[in-house]
Order: sequence, then structure tokens, then C-alpha cells
Amino acid sequence: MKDKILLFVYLSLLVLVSLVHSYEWLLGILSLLCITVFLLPLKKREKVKILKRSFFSVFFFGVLVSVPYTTVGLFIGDNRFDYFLMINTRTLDLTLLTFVFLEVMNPFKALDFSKNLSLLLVITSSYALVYNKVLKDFKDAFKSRSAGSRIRGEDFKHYLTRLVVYFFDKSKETSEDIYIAMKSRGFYYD
Amino acid sequence: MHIPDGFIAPQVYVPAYFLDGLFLIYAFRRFKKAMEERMIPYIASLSLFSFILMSIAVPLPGGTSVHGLGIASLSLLLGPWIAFICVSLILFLEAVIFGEGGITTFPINSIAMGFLGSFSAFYAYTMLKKFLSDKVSLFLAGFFSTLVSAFFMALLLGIHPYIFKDASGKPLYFPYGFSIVMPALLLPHLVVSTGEGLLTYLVVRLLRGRISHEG
Repeated sequence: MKDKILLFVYLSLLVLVSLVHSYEWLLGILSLLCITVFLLPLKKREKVKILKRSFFSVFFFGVLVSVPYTTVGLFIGDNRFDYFLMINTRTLDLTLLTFVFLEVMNPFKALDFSKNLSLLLVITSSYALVYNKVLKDFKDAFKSRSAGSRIRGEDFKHYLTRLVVYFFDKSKETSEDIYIAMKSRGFYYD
Repeated sequence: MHIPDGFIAPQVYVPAYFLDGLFLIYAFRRFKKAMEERMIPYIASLSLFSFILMSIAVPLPGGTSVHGLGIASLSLLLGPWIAFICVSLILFLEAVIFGEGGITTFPINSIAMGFLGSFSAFYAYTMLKKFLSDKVSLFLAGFFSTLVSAFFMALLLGIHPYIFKDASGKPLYFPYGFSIVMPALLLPHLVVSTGEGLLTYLVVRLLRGRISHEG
């Protein structure tokens, strides 16, 4: 129940912060969120990691959109610095809010109002980590066998063929494994 | 193509959540009927395959490379509804579990990439196959699916400065109108679309035989 309440609070805050347009208020919210991050029962390194991740996940889109918009404003005599502060602070607030809530609530428990959805998320996310590791091995193997920085079309075709066929077969096996595991644990007889 | 939180107004993303939710519920019900107890393993494993397709970087002439989406491939191999579910599930996981991609922008990404991307690929291929070769139709289906998704994103972003502005006319969310956002988003996506077209051609040709052979 605790996680469901936290999810509700999180979603409400998300909409509320999205509706704030004053950069002073948004900077205030950002300060509160930063304080919350430092109050979280985490190691210092993890706290810094949350702040860094939030910053970098908003940095590129922010630079692409708000920096040119503000710069053009300077040339045409329109002060757009308020907008620059507002949009970037709001984006940072919302991203940091997400990371804070991901630390304090269990998203799988929060979403278990639907047994199927919850199970689907648990299974897919746990296997995604395994698949990602195998994919990294594939990429590393391809890189180490490619001469120079330029990739030949024919080499890429071979690599893609092996990769796609391997993961297609693996996903079929995974499907069967999950089905048997669910059946053996009595999932279909509840 | 991921838009971070903060650039889309709640007046847009809240209704988008409802619409996307309705599409997803309908798609899940279709599969529950067809697959019964195999639904969860089937969707989970195909979503994992979709996750892999999304991670493939396709090299293009000139030394550049772009990330494919794999949506068109899945749509042409297994149907647009399953492609939509799988892509949405991966986007949801990225946003909710891994904290990447934006929570408020999830339904927009899901509708643009998952729904429009998979259906446009499916219908583009069905139509083009009547006039063009299979190779060209596959490439163009992948190409158009990405371009349609990008066009929808550009449309949604571009409408913001006209609707959501303060009393002095300053934007409250995304600042650029159609005249800027359309070329800014569509021109780079021509390159991404080319990568997706190539990926679709290669993946579908490779797996089509296996799927039809194994049923």
C-alpha cells in the first residue's frame, strides 16, 4: 500500500511541478529536492550519482533547445533568460523528482494493481539486464575483430545476421522458459 | 527522439496517457484472447528482442552510424499491435524502472514510435508491395515509419508555443513553432530513417523465413 500511495504522491507532484512557470519557485523546488537527495539513506557516492544522472539526462536536450533560443533572443533584443532558467530548472526538477521516488518506492509493488502488468515488468526488466550484457559481448567481439575505425558493409551484415538470429532464438527460448517457470509455480491455477 | 520531462504541457501529456492507455488495453485484450496463458512469456520475450533491435547502431556511408528502432521490423514480422505493445513496454521500463526517457513524455513516445511507427510501417509495406519490389518496399516501410513518428513529435512540440504562452507571449513549454521544429526534427531524421530502412530490410529478410517455417 505504501508504494501505491507514494506513486500517487509522485504523479501528483509531477503534474503540479509541470504547471509551475515561475523560475524562483522552480529553483526553490530544486533546492528542496537536492536536500531530499542528501537526506536519503544512501552512500555519498550514490547521492552524487543521482545528481549527476539528473543533470546529464537534461543537459543535451536543454542545450539543443534552450541555449539557441536564448542566444537568438540576445541578438534581437529580447531577454529570454527567464525562459532559459524556467525550462531547464523545471526539467531538472522533474527528472530529480523521478530519481528520488525511484529510490524511495518500489515501482513493481506500486504497479501491482494489475497482476499481469507487474509480472510482465518484473520478467522483462530482469531479463533485459542479461540481454544487455550479452549484447555488449557481441559489440565488443565485433569491435575487436574490425580492422580500423571504418566498418565494412559486408562485415556489418555478417555481424547483424549473427546478432539478430541469436537473439531471436534466445527470445523464443526465453518465452518457453518463462512459460514453464510460471506453470510450475502454479501461476495459471490461482 | 526522446524528449525529456518539462517540455510538454500536462494539458497534453495527461490526455495522451489516457489515449495510450486505451490503445494498450485494447492491444493486451486482443493478445490475451489469442495467446491465453502464453501471453506474458510471449510479450516479455518479444519485448526483449525489440530492446535488442533498438540497441543496434547501423553504420551509414560517411563513417556515421544511427540507432535503429526496430519497430518496423517487428511490425512487419509479427503485426503492428504486438510491435506497439513491445515497444511501449520497453519505453515504459526505460522511463519508470531505469529513469531514462521521461515519465511525462512516455505516452507521447509510445504513441509516436510504438503506435504510429508500427502501423505506418505495416500499411506502407502493404501498399508499396503492390507497385514496388519486396526489397524496396521493406526499406521504404522502415524509412516512412521513422519519419511518421518524427513528424508526429514535431507536430506535438510545434503546437506548444501557440497554445501555451504567458500574457506577454513568451512560451511556457517548448519554444519553437512549426517553421523551426519541422525542419529541425525532420531533416536529421532523414538519416535515422535511412538507418531504420536498412535495418528493416535486413532483419525482415533474415527472419521472415524462420517465422513462416516455424509457424
